[in-house]
Amino acid sequence: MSAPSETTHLADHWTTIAGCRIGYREAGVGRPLVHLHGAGGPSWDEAHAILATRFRVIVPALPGFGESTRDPGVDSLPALARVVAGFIGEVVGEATHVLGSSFGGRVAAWLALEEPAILDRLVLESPASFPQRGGTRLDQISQADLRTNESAPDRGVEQFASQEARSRNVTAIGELTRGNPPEEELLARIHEIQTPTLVLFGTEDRLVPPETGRIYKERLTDCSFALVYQAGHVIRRDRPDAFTRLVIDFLERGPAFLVNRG
Amino acid sequence: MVQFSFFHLMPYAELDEIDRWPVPHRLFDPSIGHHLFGEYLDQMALADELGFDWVGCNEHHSTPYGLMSNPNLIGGALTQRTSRARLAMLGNLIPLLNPIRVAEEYAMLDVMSGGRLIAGFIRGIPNEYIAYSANPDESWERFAEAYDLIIRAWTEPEPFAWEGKHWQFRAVSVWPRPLQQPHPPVLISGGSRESAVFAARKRAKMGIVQLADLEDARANIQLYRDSAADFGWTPARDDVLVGLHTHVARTDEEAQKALGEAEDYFYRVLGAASGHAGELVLSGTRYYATEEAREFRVRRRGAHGHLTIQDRVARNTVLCGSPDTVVRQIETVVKATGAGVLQVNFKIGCMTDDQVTASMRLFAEEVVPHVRAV
Repeated sequence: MSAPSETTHLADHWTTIAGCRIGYREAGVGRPLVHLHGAGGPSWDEAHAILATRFRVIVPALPGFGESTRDPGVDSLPALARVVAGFIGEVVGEATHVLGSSFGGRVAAWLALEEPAILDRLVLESPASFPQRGGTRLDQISQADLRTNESAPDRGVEQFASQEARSRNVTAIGELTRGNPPEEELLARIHEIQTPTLVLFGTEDRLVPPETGRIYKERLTDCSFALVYQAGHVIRRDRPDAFTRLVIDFLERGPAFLVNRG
Repeated sequence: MVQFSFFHLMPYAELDEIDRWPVPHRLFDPSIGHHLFGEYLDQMALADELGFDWVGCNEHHSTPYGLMSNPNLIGGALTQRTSRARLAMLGNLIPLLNPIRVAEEYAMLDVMSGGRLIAGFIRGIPNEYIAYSANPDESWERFAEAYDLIIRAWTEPEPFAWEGKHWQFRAVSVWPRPLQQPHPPVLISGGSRESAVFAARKRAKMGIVQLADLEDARANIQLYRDSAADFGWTPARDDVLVGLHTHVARTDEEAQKALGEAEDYFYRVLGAASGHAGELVLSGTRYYATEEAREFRVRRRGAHGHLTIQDRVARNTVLCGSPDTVVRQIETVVKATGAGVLQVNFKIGCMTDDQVTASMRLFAEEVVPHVRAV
């Protein structure tokens, strides 16, 4: 596997919400799409570039991740979701599509419960919301765990922050989730989500069982569950074309996403 | 305990010569065909009555070699004509078909038969890639994707979208779902080294037919068992099937004469038709994953063309003779290969209905009771 390209500090915009200084990057024009990153921190890769041809794509580094700072009062996922809502109000200024990846999917689910009015449609990429296989510790996750399609190029992957800054991500997750226990409360409330939702899993996900997707499909009012063949946990890097085709179709066509239009 | 699978190719053995593929369908007489389907279904129903453990059939296109373009239609009839035997569809050519349709039809057969389906997932012999206009280069990856999609369609309780490389669906929810849980047993060909390892990886049953010799079969079955161990499981006896042309008569001479003539027609007429088309498909494509696999096939086909019935008896690649002889042959084949299921094909080439049913009865009554414990 090719190594991620050299660190560039891509957070070219900054704002402060609830005492948290948040860096973010945006590109493209159109309906807004906010991407909430996974435990590894924010990045910008080929899928973002494709999405930015159709949407105004905004990628914040969540408080405590990368070079964004976290106010000590933001000490739970619901609290983090409220900061994200504040960020959306400030930076986006209208209801927005949200894409949440892995840990970011969990944050996005809380956002849909806490602040549904600011959401248009919701996409969850391999959401890590519920008990995970073997309770993998974040600092033990290897690249091999994340990717299965090792022949797929890591095209244009750019990390937002230095290795040192990224090491803080693990600390942030631990504090926000109090050691990453099963999300019983989220599981108990997930059926309350009314936002139209697309849940994506790779058939070869080694971190979160792809069968987890059926929980959302079964419990949410308006949910599609998609399996991306031969993709691992980071679907957008294993199969960027398939990933963006699904996401764009869902965001642009809503329920008619089910109809093949070529 | 060794089991027996009564397999039927449903040939159309009315032509003296076939020199091209596809075989023009003007050469097919539908009224004869109507009679043949009835005769063949009667033979399969008889197999169930006689205690054969499985009754099976397969899929071929554009040829009198086999009249089942869709074996599931025969399977549907068998759900009503049999009551006990497993129904072995060996199988649907999944790289060439809509995998959701395969999942649906197989699930119907499983529910209709009370959970008796054995689901064959087959890649298809080369000429079928012309019949269904599929790129042979994509054969293996279409096979692998269709395999995963069908299993997922059977086992995922919630509707799902599938974003594959060869198939995309936005809303899969197979009705009915299969009766056997988590899904019907799957059997794939283990005729090449690649497929033997693939079967082991998928925890599927594997089958080898048209053996060159017992050593070839033994080597691939051993590879399957070794690979299964690597993947953390142990195949059961009945996970391994070996298929053989079979004819039992009162004497060895009588049996060899009958099967010899029938095989001559089978190889010279029925089998030859697709050969040229198959070579076209293989030429310059990646139908076979490796050069070794291609060479293995060439060697195996070559071995069949020039052998006499006596050669085949000597190699133990047919079951042919008096009941006593066939008992010994079964012991030899099972001992050499470790197969738990012997697929016995009685309707070879131009063998008549009387020959087939008499041979089946001798087999069931005078062979099987002596080899169950092998």
